[in-house]
Amino acid sequence: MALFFSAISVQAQTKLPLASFENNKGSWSEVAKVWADPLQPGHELQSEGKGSILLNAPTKKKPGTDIITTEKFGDAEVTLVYMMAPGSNSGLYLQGQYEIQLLDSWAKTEVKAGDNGGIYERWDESKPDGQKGYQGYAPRINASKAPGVWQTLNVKFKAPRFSASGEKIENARVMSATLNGVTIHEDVELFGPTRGALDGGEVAAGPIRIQGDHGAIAIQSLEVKPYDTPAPVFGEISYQVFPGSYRELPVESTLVPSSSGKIANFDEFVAGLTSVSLSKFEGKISVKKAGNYTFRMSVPNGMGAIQIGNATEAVQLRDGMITAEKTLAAGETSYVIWVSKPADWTAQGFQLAASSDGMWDETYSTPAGAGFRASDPILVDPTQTPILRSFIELPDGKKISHGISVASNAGANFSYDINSSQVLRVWRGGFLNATPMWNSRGNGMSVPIGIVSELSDGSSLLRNADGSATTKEWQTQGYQVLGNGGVRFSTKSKDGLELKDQIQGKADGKGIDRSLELSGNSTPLMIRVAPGKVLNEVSDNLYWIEDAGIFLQVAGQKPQVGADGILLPITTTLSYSILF
Amino acid sequence: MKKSSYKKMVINHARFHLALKNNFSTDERKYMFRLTINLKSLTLSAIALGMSLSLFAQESPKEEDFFKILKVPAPEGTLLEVGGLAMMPNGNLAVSTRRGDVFIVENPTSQRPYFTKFASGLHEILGLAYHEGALYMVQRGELTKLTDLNSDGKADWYQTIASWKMASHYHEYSFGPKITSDGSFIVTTNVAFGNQEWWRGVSNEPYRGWTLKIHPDGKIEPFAAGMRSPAGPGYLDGEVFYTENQGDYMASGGLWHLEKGDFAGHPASLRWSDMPDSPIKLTVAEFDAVVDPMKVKNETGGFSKPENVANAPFITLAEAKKQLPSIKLPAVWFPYGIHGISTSEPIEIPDNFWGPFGGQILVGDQGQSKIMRVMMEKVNGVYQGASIDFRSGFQSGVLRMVFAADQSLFVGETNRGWGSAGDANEGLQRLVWNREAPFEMRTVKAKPDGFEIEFTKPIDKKSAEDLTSYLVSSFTYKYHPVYGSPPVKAMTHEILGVEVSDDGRSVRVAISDPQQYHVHKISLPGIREASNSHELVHMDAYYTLNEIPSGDKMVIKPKPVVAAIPVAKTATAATKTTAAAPKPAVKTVPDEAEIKTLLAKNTCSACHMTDKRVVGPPFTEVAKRNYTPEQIVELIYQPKPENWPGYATPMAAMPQVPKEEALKIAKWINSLK
Repeated sequence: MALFFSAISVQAQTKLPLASFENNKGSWSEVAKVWADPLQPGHELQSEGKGSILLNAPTKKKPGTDIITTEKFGDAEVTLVYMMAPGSNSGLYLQGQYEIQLLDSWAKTEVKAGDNGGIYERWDESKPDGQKGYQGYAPRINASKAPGVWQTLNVKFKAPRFSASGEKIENARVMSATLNGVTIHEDVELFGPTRGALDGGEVAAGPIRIQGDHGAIAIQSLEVKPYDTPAPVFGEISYQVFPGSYRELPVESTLVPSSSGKIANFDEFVAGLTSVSLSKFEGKISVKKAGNYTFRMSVPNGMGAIQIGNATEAVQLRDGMITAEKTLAAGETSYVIWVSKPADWTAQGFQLAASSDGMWDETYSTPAGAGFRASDPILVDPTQTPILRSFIELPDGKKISHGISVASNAGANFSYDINSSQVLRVWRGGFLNATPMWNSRGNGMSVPIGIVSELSDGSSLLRNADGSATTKEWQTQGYQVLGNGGVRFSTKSKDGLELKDQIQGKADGKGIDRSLELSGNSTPLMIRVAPGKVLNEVSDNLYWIEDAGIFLQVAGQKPQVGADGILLPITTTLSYSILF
Repeated sequence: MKKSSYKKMVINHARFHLALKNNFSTDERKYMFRLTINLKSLTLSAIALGMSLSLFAQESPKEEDFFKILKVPAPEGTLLEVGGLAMMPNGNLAVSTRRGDVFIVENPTSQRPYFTKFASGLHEILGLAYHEGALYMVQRGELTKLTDLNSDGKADWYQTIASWKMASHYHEYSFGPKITSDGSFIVTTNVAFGNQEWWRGVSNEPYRGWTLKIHPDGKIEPFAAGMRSPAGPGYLDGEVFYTENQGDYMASGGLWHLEKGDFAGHPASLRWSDMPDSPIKLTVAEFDAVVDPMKVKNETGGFSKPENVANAPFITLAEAKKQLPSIKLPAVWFPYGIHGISTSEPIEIPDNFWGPFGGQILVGDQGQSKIMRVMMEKVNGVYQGASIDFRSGFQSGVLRMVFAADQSLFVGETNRGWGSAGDANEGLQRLVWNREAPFEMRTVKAKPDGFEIEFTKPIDKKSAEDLTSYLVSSFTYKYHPVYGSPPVKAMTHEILGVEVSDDGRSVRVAISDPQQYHVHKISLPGIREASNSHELVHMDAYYTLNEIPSGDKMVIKPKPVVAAIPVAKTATAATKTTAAAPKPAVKTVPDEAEIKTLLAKNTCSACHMTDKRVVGPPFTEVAKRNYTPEQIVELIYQPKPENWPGYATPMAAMPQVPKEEALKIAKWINSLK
C-alpha cells in the first residue's frame, strides 16, 4: 500500500476503499446500494449488490470491529460521506486518537460532545463517576440528517507537533469541521486523545480509524487530502521607507529613504507606519516544495505591489486585493513588496498572506488600525418571532419576493412562497439569520441556519396529469397562524378554485406534515412536492428520495418521478409528510 | 416647574441667587429667560439682581419652550424602528416596526404604558391604519388586514387584501395605507435601482414608483405615477397628497397634491403607462425627448453616473410641464438641507388642536430628526404654500406621527440605513404642547405683488414697518437625472413696501418681481412681538409660488427713512446695531459665531457636526484627511462619496456655496486638526 500512495501526488484527494483498511473481521463489506427505514430503530441498514459502498453490518456471527487504515496521515482534510442506521453509533478517529462522533442524532434539539459531529470526551478513570469525561466539544448546532440519508462530514485537521526529542510542543487542532455543509467546529484545540483512542498515544502521523463495534454504518466515500505543503518562509527582510504620498511608483533612483534596515519578519516593521510614506521590502522567499503559490496583499485605504522573482511586467501600485500567483521551484526566490500609505489617516500596516494546495493559509502581516467591518449578527429568536416574512434567495440566485419562514418548537422549520404555494425548503438546526435584512438598509433577505433541504424554486405547484405546469392565476388570501409551527395558507384562482394549504412541523421535529384542500376542482391534477429522480420505497408509504436527501411519507397515493421532481396526485385533498 | 413657582422665585431674591450658583437643568434655564421678561415688566432693576439683564433680553423663547419631547416608556429591549402609527378609538396606540412587529400600547400617554405584541414576522411594515374595527398595514409586497380570531390579544388571521409584484430589491419599500373617504386605501411604492446604473431609479414590476388606490375588494387602481421614494403618503382634507425625497429627477423634498393621472416627476414608473388601466399615457420615449436621461456610455461599455454640471443648460420641472402636461408640480418644495433631507409623513393638525396651528400640516423628516409646519392655500385651483421649521431635536429620524386625544403627538422614529441628526437608531416619542402660543408666522399667503403674513401674536408695529426687517430671495431647481439639484436662478427681491394691519396681526409685503414657480425664502429677522420685543421663534418661511394670484396690488407708501429709527431704544435694537458694526480685520479662520452662521446658511449643519457623526462625517474627521483648503472647496462643489464608504447617504454637490464662504469653511475645518 505504501507504494500505492507514494505513486500519486500527495495533494490529490485519496479515496480509501475497504482494502486500505485492516482489522476487518467480516462485518465490513463493499456493496452497491444501502437503505434504511428511519422510523424502525433496529440499527439496521439494508443492502444489495457488490459495489464501492463500505458497509458495516454487524451480526452475532460477525460482530462489528473498528477498521484502521494502513496508511498514516499527519495534517489532512478528511471528507466522509456516510449513512447512519437508525439508532446507530460510530466514530471517525483522526490519527486513531481523536474521535469525531458519528451517531443517529436525528432531530435532537440539544446536542452534546457525544452527538453526531461532536469531538468526543477525553476520559480520566481516576475521577469519580460522572466526572470522568472532560474536554469534549459539542457541535455548535445539530446539523444531523435522518438515518438512512447520506451525510457529509468534512474535517480539516492539524496534527500535534513534536520536538526532535519526541516531546509534544503543539497540540492537535480541528481547524474546521462542517457537517452537511454547516460549520460545527472552528479552530478547536485538542489537548490529548479522546476516550477509546488507539494505544500508544499521540503521534505526528497516524491512521484513520472507523468505529465498527457500536452498530451499522455505511460509507459512500472517505477521502483524505494531506496538508503537507510547508508554507513559504520570508527570510530576512530589508526595508526602505521613503517619505511622501505616492499613488504611482516613482522612478526609484529619485527616492531618498528616510530610514532603512533589516527585520526578521513584517511584525517588526515600525518605521513608516504612522506617517505618509512609501515602503519597499525585499529579500528571499524559500519554499520546500515546488508548486503553485498564491500571495495576496492589501493596504487598507492605500496601495501596494508585489513582485515575486524576476519582473515580467512593470510593477504598478494598485489598491484593493493584489494577487500574485507564481510557480515556485524548491529553494529561494527573490521578492519585492511595495506598500504606499498615501494619507496619514489610513490604517497602519498591510495584509500579506499565502496559500497553496495542501497548505494551511499563512498570514505574514496584518494591518494594525484596520477596523472590523463585520456587524453584529441579528439572529431571529423563534420564541419571539416564529414566523417571518422576507425576500428569499434560492441557491441558484433566484429571488422569491413573497417569502415566509415558519419555525416549530421541535425545530423543523420551513419556508414557503406565498405566490406559488410551494414549500421552498425545510431545515433544522437554528431558525433565521436576519442580518442581511436588518443590518443597515439590508437587502430584505433572511437566511436559514442549519441543514437545509431545498424543495422548490417557486415554480408552479399544481400540474396537469402529464406533469406540465397549470396556467392558473392565483391570488393569495393570506394565512392563519395555528400555533407551534402550524400555518394555514389560502389562495384563490381566477377560475374559481380555492386552495387551503396547512403545514405543521412535526411534534418530534423529524419533518413537516402538509394537507392540501382544493375546492372547486374535479380534474385529476398533480402537485410537485420535491426535487429528485431517485425514488426508493423503504417501507410501506415511506419513500426515500435519495438525491434530495429526504423521505416522503404518503398513504394511499403513489408518488411519481416527473421531469422536474416528485409528483403526487390531487383532485380535492392530499396529505403527506416530508422527513429530513 | 410650573409658572407659579418661578413667580415665587422672582419675589424671593435670596432663593434666586442661590439657585444661580447651582447647576440648572436646561429647563430651569429656559424658565430663567422668561423670568427676566417678567422682571422687566415689573420694572425691577437688573442691577439689583447683580447681573446683566440685557444679556438675557436677547434670548427669545425657542421651540422647546412650547413643545416638549417626552419619552414613551417601553419594556427594555423593545426595538421600535417605527414604520407606522395608528390611534385606536379606545385610546390605544398601535405601532408597527420595520422589523415586522405590531405592538398595541395601552394607556400610551400615561407614565406606564402597557405594550402587547399583537403581530410579528411581517416584511418591513411602513404604514398602519385603523379602519372599521381592524388594523391594516402595508408591508413590502401587500396590503394586509390583521384579525384576532381567538381573542387572545394577538392577530392570527393575516389577510391579504391586495398583493403586488416586486423584484426583491431592497429599495422596493411600500407605504400606507391612508384611508380615503370612500373606504379605499392609498398606497405608495418605491422604485428599485439599476444594477450597473446603481444610481438610477427603475421600476422592475408594475406598479413600482406609483401611488395606488386599492378598493375594499382588493382591486388595485393605479392612481398617479412619478414617485421615486414616496415615504409620506397623506390624505389631507379629503385629498391625496404625498411627500417625496431628493434623488434622481427629484431636485429636493416636496409635498405633492395628487389627482388621478398626475405624474410627479420620476420617469421609472412610466414603463407601465401602456398598461390598460394606467391613467397616464405619457411614454418613456416622450419623456426622454424632453428631459435628457443623461445616459452617457463610459469606457467599460456601461453608463456613467450623471453629475451636476454647474454651467450646463438645464430645464426646470415647470418648464418641462409646458411640454408634458401630466407633470404635477409640488405644492411645496422643502429646500434640501434646510427643511429636511428625507421628508416623511404629512399629517393634519386637527382644527381644535394646538391653538393657532389647528388645521395646518405637519411634515416629518428622517435625516434631520425634526418636524416642519406647512400652510397651504389654493391659488388658481392649485395647491401651494410655505414650509417653516417647527420642532427639531427628536432622538432619531422622524417617519410617522399621530395625534392622541389629549393633543399630544406621537412621533415614530427610525434612521437605520440612512443616519439622522438624532443619534438613536429608533424611537417612539411624544410631543406635548404647553398650551402657550409661540410667536410665529401663522400663515403666509401669496398676493399679486408679494405675500401676506399673519402672526400668532400682535407684532411690534415699528419693527414691522421697517423694510429692513424683511429679506426675500428666491430660487428654483434643475430637473435632471442627477441626484438632487442645487438651487438655481437665485434672485434677491427688493422689499417695495409693507402694510401692517390695524390689529397688528398681519402684514402685507410687496416685493420686486415675484417669480412664478420659484421657492421664495421669506425671512423676518427684524420682526418683534408687540408685548415683549421677542423675535420670531422661526424667522424663515419658504413659499413655493406655483401661481401668482390676481387682484389688487398694494399701495406702496413712500419708503421711511431708515436713519430715523431710534437707535438703541430697546436692548434688542442695540444688539442689532452692534452686530452691524464694522468687524475687526478679516481673520483667516472664522470664529465660532461666524462659522456657525456659515454652516447653517449653506446647510452644512444639516448633515455634519464638529465632532459627531450624523448623516455625514464629523468635520474633525474631514480635517484628518489633510486636504488643502482648495481641495475641500473642490469637494464641496463636487463631492466624492466613494472616499467615505461607511456613510449611507451621498453628499449632494453644493455649487451654490459662494467660493469665499466655502474657503472660510475649509480653513475652519482644517483648523480642527
